Amino acid sequence: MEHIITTDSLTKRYGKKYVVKNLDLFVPTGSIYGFLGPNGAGKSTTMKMLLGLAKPTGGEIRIFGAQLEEKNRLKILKHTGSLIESPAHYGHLSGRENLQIICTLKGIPETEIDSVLKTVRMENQQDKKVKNYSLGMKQRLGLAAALLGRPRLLLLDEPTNGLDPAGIQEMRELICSLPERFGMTVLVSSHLLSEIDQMATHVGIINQGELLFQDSLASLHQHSRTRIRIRTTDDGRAYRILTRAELPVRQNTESGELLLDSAEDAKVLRCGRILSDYDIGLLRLEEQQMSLEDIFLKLTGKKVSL
Amino acid sequence: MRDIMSEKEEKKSVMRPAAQRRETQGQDAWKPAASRQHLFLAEQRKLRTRYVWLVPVGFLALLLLWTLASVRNFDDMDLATGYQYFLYSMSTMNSIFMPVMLSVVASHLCDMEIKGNTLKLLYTLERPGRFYDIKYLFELKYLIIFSAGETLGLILLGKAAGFTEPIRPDMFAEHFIAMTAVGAVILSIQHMLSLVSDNQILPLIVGIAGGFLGLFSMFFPAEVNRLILWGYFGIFSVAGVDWQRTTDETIYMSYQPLPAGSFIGFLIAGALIYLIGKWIFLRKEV
Amino acid sequence: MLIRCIKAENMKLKHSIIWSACIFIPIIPAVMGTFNYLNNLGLLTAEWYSLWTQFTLFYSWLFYAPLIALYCSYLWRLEHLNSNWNVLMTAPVPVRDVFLGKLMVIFRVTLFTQVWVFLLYVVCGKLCGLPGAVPLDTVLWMLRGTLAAAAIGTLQLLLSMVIRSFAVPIGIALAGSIVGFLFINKGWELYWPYSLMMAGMNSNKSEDILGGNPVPFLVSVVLFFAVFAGTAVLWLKKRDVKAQA
Repeated sequence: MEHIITTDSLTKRYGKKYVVKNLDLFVPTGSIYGFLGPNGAGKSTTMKMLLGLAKPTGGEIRIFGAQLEEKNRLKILKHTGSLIESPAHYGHLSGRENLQIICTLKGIPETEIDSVLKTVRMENQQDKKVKNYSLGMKQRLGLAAALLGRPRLLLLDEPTNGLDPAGIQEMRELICSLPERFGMTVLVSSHLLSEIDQMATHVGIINQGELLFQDSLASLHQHSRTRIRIRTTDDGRAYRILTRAELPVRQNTESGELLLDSAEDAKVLRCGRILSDYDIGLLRLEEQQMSLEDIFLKLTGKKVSL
Repeated sequence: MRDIMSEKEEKKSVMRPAAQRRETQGQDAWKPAASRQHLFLAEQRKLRTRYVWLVPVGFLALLLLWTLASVRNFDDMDLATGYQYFLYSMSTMNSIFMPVMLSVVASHLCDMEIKGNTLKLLYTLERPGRFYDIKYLFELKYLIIFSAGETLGLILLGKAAGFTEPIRPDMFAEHFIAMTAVGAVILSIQHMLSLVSDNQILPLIVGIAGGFLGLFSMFFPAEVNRLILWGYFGIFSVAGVDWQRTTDETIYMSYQPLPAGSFIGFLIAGALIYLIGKWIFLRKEV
Repeated sequence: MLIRCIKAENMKLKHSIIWSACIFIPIIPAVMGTFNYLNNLGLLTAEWYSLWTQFTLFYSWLFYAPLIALYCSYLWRLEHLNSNWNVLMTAPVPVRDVFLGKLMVIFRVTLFTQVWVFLLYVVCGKLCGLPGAVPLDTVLWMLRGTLAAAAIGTLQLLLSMVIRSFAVPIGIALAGSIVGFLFINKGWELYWPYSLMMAGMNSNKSEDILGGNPVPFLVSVVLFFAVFAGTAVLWLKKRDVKAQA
């Protein structure tokens, strides 16, 4: 099975407003699929439809090769773990008791609890009442609950919400390790481009309910033309000379540094030769990639505030 | 933020007081919190689409319907003492239903703060004590709707049924005052419990148990009866039955004006109960 | 799967004070009922049967439904808070069992309360010096009343699931109970769920209200149960889950 999740023009409409429109998702098995989009783009709604929590207005969903409908629902849910919206919990119970409830509902032995608690590093807080947990701890408990039963598919909706920087880093590392350690496929949503960049192998970008881009992270990066940043002993003169030589250079008006909008070897080589001919000293020469923010801006034509 | 935004209504309530605060601050930069009027308005906005008034109005409709059913087999004799009978039976019914109704109203209004976890936010917008008072006044509104509706409803029902007994406005006024006063004190307890209780079980248990106690306290010796708050609907009933003279055929009834002394005493005790409740609430950490 | 749901429900009720209500509240009518019975020995001459009416009239008329509504509201409140709906509805169990699991808890609470009321009845009766054993009829009535939970409990569970307020379903239960008396008076007790407890418990008359034929009563209970439970399951299946309403 190449794709663990596929959707065919998946649509959700409330009244006349499309929250999700004709979405064709392909989530490869074994991937970490980053589902990217600004707040309110339809990420949560899509994930809720994948779990059967929301009913699609149109289109089809196939998970594990089976169509998501009433008769397959339990079979699919049995192998799926999820953390949707804010972490669910019963505040008057301890973390461990919360996990016991999930174990009971999933029909798996409680011996698994220790291992998932260890995975999310919560062994020491397991007997505290959850209402006294911090948001970050609740989030980890939510992830632990999702991991119970070693599901083949994990759906995580903004899992780093409410975590401190150290916690975010830890959560990322954890998510990255899941496909290898447990053979899971992870669908993780985020509104942070940098976050997806660090975790995902594949990316889907959604905005206003529509899918703008979907492919591997590598191919996304290919979309971003690389460029070369140049600093010299006399940036102003270098700019004039290089422009005259018809090289694609720009000058940053603030810092004064030069940008060569190409990473072609021949052009870089010429650049160096010309500068040395005119006796201009070369201080820095570095390759720079277009940031995901730039790519997003290019795709949506809209500046996204992060 | 997610928790706070959890309810649609909450969103409004969250946004509005903040906006109002800015407004008031614009006029008077040193004012510590939003003005009373604004807070009242904020409470009002929280309740849009909640239809809380359905609770008192629904109960009122049921009770009046119930009373109407009992009128159908009245004879001439009964018609001549109809209003006394109405006032008497209504105070009995109040003692069962009012505690539950008040616990429902208070819990419904307070629980949205508990559920939405909005106390933290509200404390930064208004003084806790003031929040407590305004919310209470707001709940009181529903109690007054209920007791005023009840008093007027009885008069209208009597008219419609052709009661021959003249209306004694003073007695109806006293009925209204007494029922509202007893209800207000019970409400202050429900209000405190609902704001302090995280799961709302306790306030509703107290409401149901209070209804029970109120009903049965009428069978108690007078001294014990006086110790039970929920029994005061009966104690302050403006019409009473003379059980000595009453036989199977006729019920001897009479008006009994509010005993001024004990009513004032009750009010003072009620104010004290309110203040104790407020003190307990203010000690709670958010 | 149902067993798993019931087990999960039981675990959710750990550390909660929910049991206190069904112990505490029936004591009030018990003490009062006994009191009233002793004060009116002249009028109430049917001994155990008279005590039974004193004991159960107000309990089964006005307080059982709000009490059970309290439990239903509590059970659903757990899910209405903290996005728990998401977990509940993504658990690999049929939605039917999700609802029935909660219903089983309600039945158990009802049974517990009824047995407790009955125990209080026996103890108070003996303390009053009533002669002989408890009449077998009352045991039957108690069990029959318990069946009424299938109608009232299911309705309340449905209401508390749909109405996301803790208190409002309890208000509805009380209102429904008040109206229930009218139905009983008219002899229509089998057509209104809230009057079934009174009919089952036979709490306002000394002779059997159902005239010794329990079949119509049972049919009514089963029908109400089927309608309410069916509505609830359909609602769970068709509606989008809103965890943060």
